Amino acid sequence: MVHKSSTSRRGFLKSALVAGAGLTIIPRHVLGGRGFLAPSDHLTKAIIGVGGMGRGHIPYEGTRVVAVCDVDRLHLEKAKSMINHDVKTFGDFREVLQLPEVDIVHIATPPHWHGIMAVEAAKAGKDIWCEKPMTRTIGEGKKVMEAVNAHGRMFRLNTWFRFKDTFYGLGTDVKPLKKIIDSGILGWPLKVTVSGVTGYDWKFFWSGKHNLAPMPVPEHLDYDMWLGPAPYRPYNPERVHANFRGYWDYDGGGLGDMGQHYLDPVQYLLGKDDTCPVSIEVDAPQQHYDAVGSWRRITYTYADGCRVILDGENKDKDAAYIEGPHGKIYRGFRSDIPNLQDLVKTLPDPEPQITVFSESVQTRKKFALNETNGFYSSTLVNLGIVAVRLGRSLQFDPVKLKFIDDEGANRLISQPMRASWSI
Amino acid sequence: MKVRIYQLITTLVLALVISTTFAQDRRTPETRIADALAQMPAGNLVHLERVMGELADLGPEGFTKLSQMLVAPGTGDDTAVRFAINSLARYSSAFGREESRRMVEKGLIASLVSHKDNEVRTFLLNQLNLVGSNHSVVAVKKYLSEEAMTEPAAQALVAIATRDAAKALFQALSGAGDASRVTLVRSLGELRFEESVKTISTFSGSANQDLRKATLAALANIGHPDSYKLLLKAARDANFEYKPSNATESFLVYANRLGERGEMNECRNALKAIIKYTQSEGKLHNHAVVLSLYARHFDNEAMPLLLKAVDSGNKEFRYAALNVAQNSGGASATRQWIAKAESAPAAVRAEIIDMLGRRGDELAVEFVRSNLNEASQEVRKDAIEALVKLQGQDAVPVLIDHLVKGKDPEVSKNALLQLISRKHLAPLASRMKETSGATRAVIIDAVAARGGNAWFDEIFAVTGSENADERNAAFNALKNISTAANLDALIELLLSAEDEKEVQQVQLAVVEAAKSVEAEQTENGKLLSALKTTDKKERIISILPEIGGDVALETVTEYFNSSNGRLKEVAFEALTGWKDYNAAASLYKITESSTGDYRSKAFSSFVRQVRTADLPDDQKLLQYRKIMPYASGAADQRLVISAIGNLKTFLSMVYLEQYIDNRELQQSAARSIMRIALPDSDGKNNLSGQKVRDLLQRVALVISGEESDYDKINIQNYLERMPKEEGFVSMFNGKNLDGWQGLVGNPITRTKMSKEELAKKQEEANGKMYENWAVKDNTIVFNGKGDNLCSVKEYGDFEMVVDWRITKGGDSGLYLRGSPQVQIWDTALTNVGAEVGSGGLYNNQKNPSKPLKVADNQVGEWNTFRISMTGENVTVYLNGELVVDNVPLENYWDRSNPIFGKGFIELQAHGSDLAFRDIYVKEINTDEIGLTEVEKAEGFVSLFNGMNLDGWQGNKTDYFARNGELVVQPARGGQGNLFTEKEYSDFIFRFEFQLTPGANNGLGIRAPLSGDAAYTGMELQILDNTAPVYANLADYQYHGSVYGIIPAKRGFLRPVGEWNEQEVVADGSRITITLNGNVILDGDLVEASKNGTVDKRDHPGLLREKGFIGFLGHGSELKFRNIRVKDLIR
Repeated sequence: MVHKSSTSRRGFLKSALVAGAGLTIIPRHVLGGRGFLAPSDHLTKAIIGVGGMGRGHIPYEGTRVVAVCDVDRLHLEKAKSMINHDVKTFGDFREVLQLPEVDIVHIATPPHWHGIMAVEAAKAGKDIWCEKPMTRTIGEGKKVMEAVNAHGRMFRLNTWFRFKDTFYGLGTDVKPLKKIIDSGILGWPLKVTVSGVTGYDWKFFWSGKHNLAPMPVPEHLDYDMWLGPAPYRPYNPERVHANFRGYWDYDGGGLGDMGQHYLDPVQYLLGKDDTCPVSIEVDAPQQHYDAVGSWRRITYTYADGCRVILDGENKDKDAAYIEGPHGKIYRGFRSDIPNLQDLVKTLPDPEPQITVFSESVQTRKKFALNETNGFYSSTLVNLGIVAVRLGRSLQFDPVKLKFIDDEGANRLISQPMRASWSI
Repeated sequence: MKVRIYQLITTLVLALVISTTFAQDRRTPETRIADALAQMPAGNLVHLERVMGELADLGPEGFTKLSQMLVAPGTGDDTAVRFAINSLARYSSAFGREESRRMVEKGLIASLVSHKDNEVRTFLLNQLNLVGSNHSVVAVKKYLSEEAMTEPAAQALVAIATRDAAKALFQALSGAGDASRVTLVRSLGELRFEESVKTISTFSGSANQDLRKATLAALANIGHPDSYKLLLKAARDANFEYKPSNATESFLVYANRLGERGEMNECRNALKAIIKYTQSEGKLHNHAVVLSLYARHFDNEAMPLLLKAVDSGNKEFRYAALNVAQNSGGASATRQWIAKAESAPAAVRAEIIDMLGRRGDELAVEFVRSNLNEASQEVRKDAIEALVKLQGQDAVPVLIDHLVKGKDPEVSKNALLQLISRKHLAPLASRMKETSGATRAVIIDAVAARGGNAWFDEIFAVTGSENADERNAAFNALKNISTAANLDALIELLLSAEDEKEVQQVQLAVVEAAKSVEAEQTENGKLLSALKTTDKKERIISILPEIGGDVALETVTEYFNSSNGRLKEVAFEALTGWKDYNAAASLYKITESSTGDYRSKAFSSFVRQVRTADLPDDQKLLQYRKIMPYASGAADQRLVISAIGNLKTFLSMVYLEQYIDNRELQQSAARSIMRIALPDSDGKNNLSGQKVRDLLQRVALVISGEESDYDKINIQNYLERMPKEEGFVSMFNGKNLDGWQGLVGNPITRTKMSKEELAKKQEEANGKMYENWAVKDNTIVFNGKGDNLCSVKEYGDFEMVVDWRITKGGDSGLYLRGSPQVQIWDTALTNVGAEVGSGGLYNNQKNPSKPLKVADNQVGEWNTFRISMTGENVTVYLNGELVVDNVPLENYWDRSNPIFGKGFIELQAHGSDLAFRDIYVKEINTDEIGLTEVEKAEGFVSLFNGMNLDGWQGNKTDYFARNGELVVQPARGGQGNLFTEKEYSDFIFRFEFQLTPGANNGLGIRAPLSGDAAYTGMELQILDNTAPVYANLADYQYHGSVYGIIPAKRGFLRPVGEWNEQEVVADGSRITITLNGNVILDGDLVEASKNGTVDKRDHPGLLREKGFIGFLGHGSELKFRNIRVKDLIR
């Protein structure tokens, strides 16, 4: 453990706090009471984790950054240089959560921190904007869902294809797809194939390296805090920053990185926002205990027979994106149903969703992708990860949220956290 | 071969097969471990299961041996061992593997003792998280007292989760330091070990913040009534605010745990305490927790609290309560909420109605509906939205009536759009007449949104309305409801409309109406006809890009060239916005001949049109290179560079090299080069070779920006696995004629010259070369006189790319292996037949000499050849189009013989000026066909060159080479088998094969050239196991079996028609066969035959030490490829 650098970090923090002392941002809720914000008002936010991803959160519209937090001094300096007003800087997110002037906390750390930080932010009464994947275990996801609900917080998971933007190879947003599926034209049950053929890249380059040699921790990084709840492993630059997705302790490779992007809209389309598959079949090479490897195929089956197939090797050359007994929709919104696009026009629109987070924060109506449906889509990802890691197919009980007849798999639902961290 | 169905014998020997073929594994444990480790990581789960099964069979001693190979990080490579141990734990954690789980558990514990390194011991303890059981408790316990081991040991015990595990953690508490205590306390909390409450409580006053936090959390988790005071005090000390000690949260958790444990009085007291202390604004989120806990543990008792909560002035808190209310209570709760809403102020009333909608209890329908008439707009809005949720399509009539009343047009519209499909349009549209203004506009919007073209006339009439809302809606609707039948009316409106926005709306509608009408693309189209007569030409011209067609294009180009002012600008915009590639020629001319704005806009439009055109990549690159000189600045150049990044061709990458050192263009160029060279998302379509490597290394050095760290990793990963081949090599340095020489005679006359004579003539020819050939502007040019320009090097099989350009009347070509020629000529030379296009093998007499299609660019423009020559066959792509498809090039100099095996590449000169640029060649070494880099390094050689049967003997009639494959077609009338020319004793033989239904062949090994190889040597069966005719074979007759001796495992052949990969290792008497990554046979010949062979036949060849490898065909069609061998004796 690296206690040596934490003294210097403290020193650094102190000076940062002094520098920010002249700040006079008055939080909106002090002025008008929370939840009474005029739409033109800026909400205040703090960003935890200002690596490449977190720095991207600085400019979101309708919000103003008042604090940034990172365990790497270089990240903090860079983030600070990008913000043209005074901003407080921190190395420990718990200090950020105690700031009364912060309305929203953005969590842009590696995924092994998401669960704890989201729960702590809810306890502190903050609204939460969390990067995907929501959590890296099913157990942590459940805790986030419960804490956010119990404390009445607004939560946004940061993937957006269920409500806007062209959806990868489909060449459309999900709205017309949702209309078609809800209309029953395709029949039931449906099969969805997510692969290069249907327009998705599984990013297997997020594979970790084996046999890493211990290296000295750089002076600017608080490695013990970077690891946080993750198991202690000797430092090696391969683990941290841009590379962390290749290690099971922090994320789950391409599936962790892209899975929720790809699967959350599928879950929405299939109307599975409050349930899970009952079986997960997997075809993959043997996995390393630490470094993430690739996989060939993951097949999820729901109780009603709907299936979601993740085809990692693009084996199904003619695969439709969505296939039902009465019709198929292919990449690029092609279909074997004649004049489908014209038909879409005649169908009712799906239920509208709140798609601007500041609107959720102000109206207190749930964001389109929130702690509940977000939990279920991250669970979809995590079920795949457990099956790939164990190298076997699994049966799952969507009500109890437990695997059936598989103690090994159940021991991966909530993975241990390194003390003093717990959730 | 050898499918002889002796049913009787089969049955008789079955018992024998079982007893003799599963011969005992005589390998030592060390060997078995080494063999297993060599297979880490296993490629698939079936293979993994098998190897794990083998490791599990080794027992605890074997496991200990395995774990002894673990090393501390940084001191060696134990990757395979860690793969094995971890996978074994995972394997053993599955249902029904109790026995191997016990073995692994024992093994892990035994290994822990023998390792000193903490990281290694942590690794071993971590495995117990998966397989640990109560048996491990005693052993794991002792690690709790070592501070560095407390965490992994405690984690293992938490996973084990038995009472003994908890006791062990508890006992370790005494004597532990603070750091260990934090872990132990947390773990006891997770296991909810009640006996520890008293002891843990003593830490609540610790000076160590982490320990205090862990203590409170653990006590909360355990939820014992005795902890009440302590936890409440801690929360009060924290002022019920968020503090890193989590004291407040611990008390909230505690309250819940009391409820879960059935301590209802304490639970209620705790909740009341929380309410008391969390009344102030900043703590209401903690107060909110009480509401959900009340609802969870006391059900209806929560109602008064929830009802009271919505009286709060804090919206967040009200919503927290309403979210709880959404899912709790039954019909009586719904009634209470209705009553509450009736007496609440408008804002809260609206919020309750919103909740009732989400709650979905139909009991609320009537109440919600009655709110449609409320004075508050907020209430009405939420009532409309709630009604949609409660009633679905049943709400449509009510909502239409409400809409018609005119109060909430926008909200009603949004609601209706969620509910109506086409069948609802008639009742909605029928209300159009009785409404006006904004309400009428909404009806028009909704009809249009569902494509209600039956109401075109009615809506069209509204375009003349005086009311702005109605008018806007009607114009806006036209594009959704117009069909070809409405074209006349729309054109008339187009030319009469006055408002610019309205004109735009009509234009969109005209496009919709006209786009599927073919006549609109001709002279007689209604639009083109109207264009001639109207004075509002701009309105029609700007539509034409969407309609398309040659006539329209000519017309618009003409307006651009011949008019001025606004009309010229509109024509220009039309050309830049043309819907397909057809306008590119016009845009190029504008770029070339104009300046300023026209030039730069035409430039970017040209690039866009090329980018979206359906053209081969080679052609796109030529177009981009053509326009590049007219770039108005770096922005234009970057546009082209990034467009080239989409072209996955070698020349595209090479072209971008010049920009990588240009400061302004560097980043675009670097990203484009990376995109071109790296594989697509499906892992394919990547470039390789030394040039690619050099460029990517430069890219990695210069690339910067937000995501560039990822890019660098990608590049590095790719470079690591990129084949080490040379790839394309430049034949022309762009500066001089190095690498080229003058031509002397022809391949035949040259062989007749003496060395001295040839050298002398070569010198003369080299001198003369400079009179006729020169380098100008990075191209090789010819002045119209003299001989061919000849490469210094000779080439056998190769691929090449080259750009060429001819002038009017040009006639040239490329000689391959010193022989004419891939034709280049001006297609206007019809007197010599040039109208067929360039690229053909002009001098062929027996084989096709003409190209498959004309793919030439205009004379004076550049063209790209991609040529490959393998054996005698040549394939040519011209500008990305296939023009010669694998055609033999005949020997022009000696028609009685096939083409030479190698020779010069020559640029032909034929009395006209011409130019070449970007000449690259990649040599193909057929000796290495099918070999991976690893195999080359390991000493494998390729046995089949893909072109002919050099190196083989025997039946070369039924066996022949085609398209790089060894094809077997017995119908050709040959006899016998095909054998290698050389003999092999111990070897690794790898090959791929593709079966046809019912196919039967065999791989002979250590066989003599005569006799029945299955007996005089050995035969490894090759067979379509799935064919019905083979349903009743003996085990030892199926695919992979050593025929008659050792049966192979079945089930690993890919479906018939797919390629299979097989490896045969013959090492002394041991034969191992791996099919598609699965070991299907691993046996010892001596062992298997010591009591006689299972087929009861004499196998004199069984113990032959060496012989030929061969394919033993028996009447079936099939194919082989990538055949390679490593001789283990050499």
